[in-house]
Parts: sequence; C-alpha cells; structure tokens
Amino acid sequence: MWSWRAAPGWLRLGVAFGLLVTLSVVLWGPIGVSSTYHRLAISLLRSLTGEHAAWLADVARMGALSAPETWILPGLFMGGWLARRCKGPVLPEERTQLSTPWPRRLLAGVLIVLGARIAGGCTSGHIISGISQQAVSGMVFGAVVFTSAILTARLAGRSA
Amino acid sequence: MTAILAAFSGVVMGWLIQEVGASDPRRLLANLRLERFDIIRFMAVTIAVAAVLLPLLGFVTPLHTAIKPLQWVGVIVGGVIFGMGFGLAGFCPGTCVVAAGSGRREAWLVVVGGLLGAAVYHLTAPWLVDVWHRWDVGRPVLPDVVGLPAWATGALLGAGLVLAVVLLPRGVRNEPS
Repeated sequence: MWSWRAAPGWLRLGVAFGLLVTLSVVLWGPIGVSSTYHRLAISLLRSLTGEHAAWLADVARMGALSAPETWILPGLFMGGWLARRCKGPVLPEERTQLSTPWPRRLLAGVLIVLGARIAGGCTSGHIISGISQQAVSGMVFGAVVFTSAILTARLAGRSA
Repeated sequence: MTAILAAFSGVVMGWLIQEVGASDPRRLLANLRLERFDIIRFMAVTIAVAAVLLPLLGFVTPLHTAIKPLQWVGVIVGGVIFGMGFGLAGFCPGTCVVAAGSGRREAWLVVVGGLLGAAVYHLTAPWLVDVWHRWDVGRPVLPDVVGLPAWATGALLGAGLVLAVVLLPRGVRNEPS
C-alpha cells in the first residue's frame, strides 16, 4: 500500500516547496534570490567609491539593501545550517570537500549572478516562482538555462 | 512584517534545498549530466503544485504576483550565461548560500563570485542595459498566449509537469528508487 512517508524525497519535499511558493505569493510576493546579490554589490561598490548619482538610481530601481527580499538570503543560510545540524555534526571531509577546482567555482559564481541579472532573475525568481505564476519569461529562461547547463555540464564533465 | 515572512520563506526554502540534496553540487551536476533526475523531479513537482494552486487561490484571495518581463535578448543571453555557470560547478545563487550554511566551505567562493558577477553587471549596465532590455514584449502569461482561463492553463501546466516526472527515466545511475 502506498504511503506518503515512504514516498521519495523529491516528491514529499517538492510538494512542500510548492506549498511554500504558493504561500509566499499569497502572503507577500514571489521568492527570488539574485537581486539581493545586486543590492549587496551596489552597497559594497558605494562603500568603496562613495556616493554617485548612478548608484542612487540603481538603489531606487532595485530597492535598498533593507528591502524585505534581502532577508531571504540569510534565511537560506540559516535553513541550510539547521537542516544539516539536525542530521548530526558536519563531517570534516564534508567541510573541505572540493567538487570542482576553485577557478571553476569562482567563474561559475560570476556567471550565474551575471546571467541572472541580465535576464532579470535566477532559478528561484524566474524558473520556480516565474513558471509557477505562468510567466512566459520564466518558461523561456528555464528552457535556455537547462539547454546551456546540460551542454556545459557534459562538456565540463568530459574535460575534468 | 514582510521582511519576517521573507526570512521565514528563506529558512524553509533553505531547509528543503538541503534536505533534497540540491545544495550538493555533485548531485546537481549529476542531474545536469542526465545521470539522475531527482532534483529535476523536485523542481517540476514544486512548480506543478504552485501552478495548480495559485489560480484557484486567486478566486478567494488577492495574490501578490510579480510577472517578470519577457525581454528576449536579456532572457536568452542571460539564460545562456547562467546555464554555463550552473553547468560548470553545480551551484545556483540560492543553493550556494544553503551549501555555505550547511558547512560546505567550497560554496563560499561561489558566493564571492556571485558578488563579483553582480558588480560586473552593475558596472557595465550604463552601456549594456539597453541591449539586455531589447525586444521587450511585455509580461505575457500562459492564459494570454493560449486564450484559456488561468485555472485551466495552471491545471494543464501542472499535468504536463507531472507527466514529465513520470516519464523521466528512473534509476539511471546511482539514483535511489
């Protein structure tokens, strides 16, 4: 007999995430992450170079660092911390494990946020929240991202 | 109040991402190499649930929707660049933060790279932002495109995603049943 508890993790957790996305749109707005990187970068650049009219225009467009969406990022950190600690202490090899060489990870970080800002959203804002709201932009972005990512992962996997 | 709700959403989202294994870049890369499909299934189920529920809830409560514009140049160029980064290391802007929280030190470099990427976008925006915003066709949604009510397109979208989840190969390599 089928049991919810015995259902695969992707199904149980996917339903839970779907309910979270729904609840977010009902209560306050769609979940998105990459705009917070932009707000953080603007703040860092401002502190390095001083005030500039262009920064102010950008802050007005992006929302200040104190915008509510900014709080998703520390929330994600806390969620990862809590979920991992509930499983027991983090193993030393888990802390120091390197899945890819450091230049690749640094470049990947640059590309994911640069690409997300150019497109106006990332996996959470464009793909998860966007397609959930039936936005055509999210569907186009999702199709392009997965095509590009699958090709890159296969090519990079071959060269690794 | 909105900030508290956003933070709470972040904590729950981070928990779910960690639990399903999407904060493990090796797991994401295996999905992108089409060796296993658990994270792809997770994303499809997430979207299916929300796509079906949101239009129905729209009948009984106002929704805080925010549809992103379809600016063809930005969405396609940004999508290609994003996909390259995603496929190189198996991290997204959100999953790298969850991974850092879970104790994976390697994820911090992706976060730093992300801030650099945002700075590159910001500093080049005065010259390039008009290019990214070209071919802007507004904010189309599926009901506009197919001429059906949102609850019907939401149900069709959800059904299509569930069908995809069912049809995806099972247990291709190293995938638990």
